[in-house]
Amino acid sequence: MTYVKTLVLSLSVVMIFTVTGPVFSRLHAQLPDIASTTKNHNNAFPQESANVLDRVFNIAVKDVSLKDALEAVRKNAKIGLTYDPSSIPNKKVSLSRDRITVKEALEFILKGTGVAIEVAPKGNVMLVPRGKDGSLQADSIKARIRGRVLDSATKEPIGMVTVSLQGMNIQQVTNDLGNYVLPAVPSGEYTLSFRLLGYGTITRKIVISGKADVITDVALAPMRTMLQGVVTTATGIKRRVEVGNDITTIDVEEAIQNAPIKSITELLETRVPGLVVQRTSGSPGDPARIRLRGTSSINGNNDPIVVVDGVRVYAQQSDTYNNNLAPSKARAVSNRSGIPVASPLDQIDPNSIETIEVFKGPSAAAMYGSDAANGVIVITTKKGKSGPLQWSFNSSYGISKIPGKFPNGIYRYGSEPVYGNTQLCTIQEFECQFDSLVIFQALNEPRFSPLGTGNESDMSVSLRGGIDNIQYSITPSLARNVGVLKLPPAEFDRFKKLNGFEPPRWFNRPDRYDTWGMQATVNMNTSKDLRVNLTSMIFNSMKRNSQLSLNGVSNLIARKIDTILNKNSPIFSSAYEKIESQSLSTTHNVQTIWQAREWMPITANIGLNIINRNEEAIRPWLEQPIGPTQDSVAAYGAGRGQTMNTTSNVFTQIPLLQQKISLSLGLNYNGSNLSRMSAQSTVPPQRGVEVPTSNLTATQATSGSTTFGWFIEPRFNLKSRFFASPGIRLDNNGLAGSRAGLLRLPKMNFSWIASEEPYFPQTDVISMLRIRTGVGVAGVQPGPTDRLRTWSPVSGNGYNNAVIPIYAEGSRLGRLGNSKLKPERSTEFEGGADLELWEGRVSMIFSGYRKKRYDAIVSVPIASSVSVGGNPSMNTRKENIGEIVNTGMEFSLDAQVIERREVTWSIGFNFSRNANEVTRLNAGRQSIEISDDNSGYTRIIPGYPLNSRWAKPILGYEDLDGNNVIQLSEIVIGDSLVYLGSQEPTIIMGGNTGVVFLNGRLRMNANFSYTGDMVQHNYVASRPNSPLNTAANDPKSSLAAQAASLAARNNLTQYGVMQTVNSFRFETVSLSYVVNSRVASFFRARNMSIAIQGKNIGLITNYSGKDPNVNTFTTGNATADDGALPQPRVWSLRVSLGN
Amino acid sequence: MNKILTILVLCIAPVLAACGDLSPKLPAGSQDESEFTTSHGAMAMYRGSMGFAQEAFKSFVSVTGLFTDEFIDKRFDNPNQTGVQPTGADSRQIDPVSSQIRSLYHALHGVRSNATLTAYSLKTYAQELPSSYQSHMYLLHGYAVIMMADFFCSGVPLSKIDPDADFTYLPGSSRDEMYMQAIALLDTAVLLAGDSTYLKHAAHIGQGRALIQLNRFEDAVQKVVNVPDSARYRLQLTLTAGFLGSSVVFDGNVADLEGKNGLPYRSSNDPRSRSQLVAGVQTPLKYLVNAGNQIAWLEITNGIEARLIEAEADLKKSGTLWLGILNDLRSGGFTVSQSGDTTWLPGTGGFTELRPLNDPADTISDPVDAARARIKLLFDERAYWMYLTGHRQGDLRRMVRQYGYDSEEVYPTGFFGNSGLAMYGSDVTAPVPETEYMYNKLYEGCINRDA
Repeated sequence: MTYVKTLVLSLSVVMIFTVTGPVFSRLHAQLPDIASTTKNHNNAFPQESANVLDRVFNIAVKDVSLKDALEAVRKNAKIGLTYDPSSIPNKKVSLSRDRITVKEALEFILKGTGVAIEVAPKGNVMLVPRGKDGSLQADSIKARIRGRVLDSATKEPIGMVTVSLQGMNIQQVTNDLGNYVLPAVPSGEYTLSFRLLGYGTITRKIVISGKADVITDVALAPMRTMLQGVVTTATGIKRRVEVGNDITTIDVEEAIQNAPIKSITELLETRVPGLVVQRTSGSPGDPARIRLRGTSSINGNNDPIVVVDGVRVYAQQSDTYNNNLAPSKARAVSNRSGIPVASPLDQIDPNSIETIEVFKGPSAAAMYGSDAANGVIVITTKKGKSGPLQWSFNSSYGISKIPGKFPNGIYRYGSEPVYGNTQLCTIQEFECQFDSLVIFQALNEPRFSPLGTGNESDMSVSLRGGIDNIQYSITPSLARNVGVLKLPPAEFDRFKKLNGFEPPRWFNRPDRYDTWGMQATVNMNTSKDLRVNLTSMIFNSMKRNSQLSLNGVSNLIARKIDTILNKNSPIFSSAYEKIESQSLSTTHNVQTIWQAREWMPITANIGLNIINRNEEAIRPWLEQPIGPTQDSVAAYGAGRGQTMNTTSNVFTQIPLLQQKISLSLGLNYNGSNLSRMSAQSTVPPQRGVEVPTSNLTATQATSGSTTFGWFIEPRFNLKSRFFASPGIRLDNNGLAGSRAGLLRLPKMNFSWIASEEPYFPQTDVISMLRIRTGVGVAGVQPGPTDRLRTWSPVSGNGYNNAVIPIYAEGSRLGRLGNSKLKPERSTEFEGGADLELWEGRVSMIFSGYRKKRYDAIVSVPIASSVSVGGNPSMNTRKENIGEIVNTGMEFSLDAQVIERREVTWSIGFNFSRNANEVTRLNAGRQSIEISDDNSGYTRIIPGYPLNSRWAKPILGYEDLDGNNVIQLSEIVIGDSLVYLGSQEPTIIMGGNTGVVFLNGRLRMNANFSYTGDMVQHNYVASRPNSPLNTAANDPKSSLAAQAASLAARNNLTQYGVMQTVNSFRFETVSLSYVVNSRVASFFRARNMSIAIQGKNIGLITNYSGKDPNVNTFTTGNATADDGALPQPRVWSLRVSLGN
Repeated sequence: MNKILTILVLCIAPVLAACGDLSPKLPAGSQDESEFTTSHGAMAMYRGSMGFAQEAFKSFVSVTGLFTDEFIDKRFDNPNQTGVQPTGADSRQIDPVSSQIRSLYHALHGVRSNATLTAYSLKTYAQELPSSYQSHMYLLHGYAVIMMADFFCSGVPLSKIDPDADFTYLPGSSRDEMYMQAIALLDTAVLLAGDSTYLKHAAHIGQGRALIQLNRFEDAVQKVVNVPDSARYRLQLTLTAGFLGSSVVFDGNVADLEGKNGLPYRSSNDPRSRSQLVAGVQTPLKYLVNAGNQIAWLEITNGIEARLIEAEADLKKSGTLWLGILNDLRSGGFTVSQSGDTTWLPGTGGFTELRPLNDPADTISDPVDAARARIKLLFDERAYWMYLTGHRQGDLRRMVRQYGYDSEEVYPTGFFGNSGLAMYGSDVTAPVPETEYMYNKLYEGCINRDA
């Protein structure tokens, strides 16, 4: 029903535009001068076929050939005239007369030639020879016009180019190989035009004089317009102009040219309106979560899916699999569930990518099916290019450091009244005899701080080349990143003194992330009808951390000074543990484009993506440990995991009704399997020695899912300015051992180039205006076993007659399951406008959307009267009962402010606002409490955003005794929780500017990001007895700060230490310079450039903690103040060479 | 025409293919639902239901032992431990959000769910097995309902779980309805028991236990009359890692004269409730097993209970046989010991410490007092014979409900623990946990919390 409503709404929008069309017409009628400039500017011939022979004109030719006489008629009468010159006899004629009709003139000229005069439907006059019997002969002389259309810059074939024979009602569109065929064209002289938005229209004169094919190949030159080019959709490559959604495309090659970019996350950040990057930490290789148009799922997944060259790859960023599979002793001392492993998305080397396209929501991603509700990131890797070998080489080196200082701790020392012992005492501890104040922060002291200088370096080579039928591209790369964490010098010295040798390097510099990989592509035209593209990617990463990564910062951030300065005790009590995660990701894809029929190209691809992960966590035995708690603790953990994704797509695009309809049909299969195993031992492994089972624990899990989808998508093209594209996808989903019914995912979108309408006012300002709307439905799969009723093992049972063996294994109910569980579904309505001003120098995109997640999966508690046994709090099952609505708008602006030969200046800016609201949980469920610990409440409650922040309010405070110190008894706290705000930013902005000087030799680029209206918990101010907590230690602090801090420290409410945070971050500044070619030639290169980049160079925020944009958890808190490493500042230098 | 035909084929063929089952199957060894639709799977469920039931029944024995006078929280039994606030079942002040009670409630319903599905699977997928396997599931189901009726308030919902992945919530059943449902379930157990006499006997005793709660003593006798003295139904227990080289089942303090009304389980030195100090904790000898012998059994019922039912029915109708039955039990010598328990040898001649009982009426002239003394004697005998088998709570409720005792005459009362400040509460039943109200919309709460 909701979909129908949305559909009606979108149709209404279209109708509004249709209705307003005549209004434009009326406007146009009042502006005759403008009309005369717009009318027929594309048509060489008059359109009124009925009157063309009656047109009156003047002619004066004397003793000229028939052909010249006919040309005089064409020119003077301004008519379209088509004829086969060979059919015109070679004789002379004279005619001089004023006000003669076309018919009279032609009859006079052609008298006795046997050539008949015909008028084509669109008014073109055709001269057709007659046979001996007097019949017309034109039908017997027909030929095909065929050829290929290429991009003049890239030499790549261009699909969807409209090829039309002017004056004739014959039109075709090129296929994906750039080929076209115009069948059965009568003899004559024609003008062939090639037209595609984004390219300059070109025409070619051709003559058909026999039955032989006329081959006309052309190359179109790209022109600057936001609607140029194509979009890689699930149903095939589409012209951007046809697609009624705002799909952000990032030209990766261009972005990398301007600045050293290390990951896909970096590429996406600030460049995509509506995209938020949530960083888990500033440690190298730690993953970031990507959210498009806000989160929508309560218990399901909020990650977009990732498709590389048509292959669905595993790219989950927020599920538990992202934690280290080799849990070890590290977990026991960590406030997190494990060391995060690198995001599979960031394993892909940006140097190997050509473009990234971002489909933000279901209206754009519907045809991607039952997993695409959170958006789709489509990555297209580099392709080969015909021609001699092109090579490029990039290498960079950078240093990283945590910017700024950590806030100082205030240590307020005094003596305890009874025994006189020295102790720390807050201002509220009146019985403590205060005597001294010490200001200290170990993280700012080089001798004690684990924060040092990290470094990163990378190298990549790109080789491209090929001949007409085979092109290749190879991009190997290598990168190394050493994090900022280091063993503090004091600890280093202690270790050395105790053990007699220096600590191993992994212990001294624990955070490290190394990658290597290669992407290779071969594109082959094996015949004129078949093109084969082979793509392979291999990327390997090794991420290493130690216990220091988990507690290095958190341990010191609020540590008591005496325990740090005590030389006899270690600063870190249990830092000696190495955790490594090695991940090998391979993706292979074979794509074929086969011209099965002239009218039917078939594209098929088969892809395989496998990620193998090996992990090891080891705490070795040390004779002289550095910490008292690890003298006898040794542990070993190993994990193995594999994800395997298989993708198979087949689709075709069939033109119908003279290209007015193009029908896309296709199949898609995605299979995903995930298996993992981990084992731990409390004794270190030794060669040849079997570990006793009592020291071992092991876990294993597997899951799998399949999706078989079928789609049909007709696309309607009305006069090349109005496009409509309905479609439906049917998905058959299989999850481990269960299957839901056939899922229907419909969509509809419209694109209307209003500025192409004849009645649209033509000015020098507006060069293009497009109105678009889209509505679509996409899904998110439930967990692999959510539908199943599962059993849990029970062992060691029997009863008196011992019918069954006493210790026989058995199974009891483990989970109820829900066989009726469906994928979550989201419907999204998107509408917007694209506007280009001053011939594309300024372009603006505006989009508004309303995305509703219905059938949202919620974990519903089941009353114990239907108990499965086990833990009562786990007596739940998943149900499709939630509803979450995201509404928002996005705006982006790109402008070429200065465009001169010596200097150009461009700016880009995007703004988005997203409001999120849970509209329904279920009838019996008022709220879901995510956390109620001392970090404050995180709740899911109808009427408020997902994972909203709540706290009991501080209603008031008063210094009743006038001592300038607020005590608990002087604070009044409300009983009920009040809403504080959303954990996610509701306002996001990103921007960039680039200036090019010296004829393109010197480029300067800068990026910034802004997130606003995000409620963040300030852990620094709330930490109990923290010396960082000035409100607890400084009597001069305001009463309000004292009240807030005191209430938080005593776990009464976190109200006062929750902040609505706004942050503006200078993400990057880069400067690149193209050096003299003589210098380049020294390296046997033609081009050479040097670039310097600063990353994370400034932060302006009202947040009083360290880094508001770092949070380990998807919900709740583990901010930089709680030990997660803040984002480092990186300065890097890059050298690029190429031919 | 070709084009249209091609399009039609491309449209229709995938739709047909999409209807096929492409579900990946879980690898072998996973707890996949389909693995339970076999005879082997049904047996795995059978074993699992057994294992789960023993844990749930043990919890019932433990919690009702605390609630009554059988057990006392070891913290409150320690003279050095002061200031501990009374909570939960031990002090008869049960909060509807008590996790202890919620766990027990959840576990007993879990026995019902597992037994229901297992009986279905045995019937459907293991037809080659004797029907006694199904009977066993009905037996567990029936006993779980009896235990809930014994402990919880009147008005426990007995919602149904379905063999497919669904369920049906039901409103609360009254106490008597629950006992009647238990009797019906045990009837089915008897019908399906076939040649399995031990299941039949256990079912009949369970019916007798439920019938006396319904005040139908003669019917109860009819059910148990053919149960031999040697009948016994017990579940093997999982042992808890114990103290000092021993393993214990109940790591708790045996109570002694708890809350004024409690029986002297320790100080009486009665062999039926004998205990031993293990690492400072008074542990019931009956459930203390030496480390070398890893088998312990939770007694659910036995022939003694059948005889006790007969004795009570006789006393109820002012018969003359009841005392003889009780004394026969004392001298008859039943094997109720634990294997490896050297203190409590398998009896062949009775327990020497247990001297014959005298009729209290012989020394009490007032007939009302004499009658009450006889009842007290009978219930004391039940308490000792059925010590830590989960019968005491049902008995104390019956003393209040059927014999007119005030709850404060039979349940622990007065000061609680060692603090000298806290008092026992007045609960005689446990409330249905609050989560049932929250999630089962048909549930409207306890009908009453009376005995």
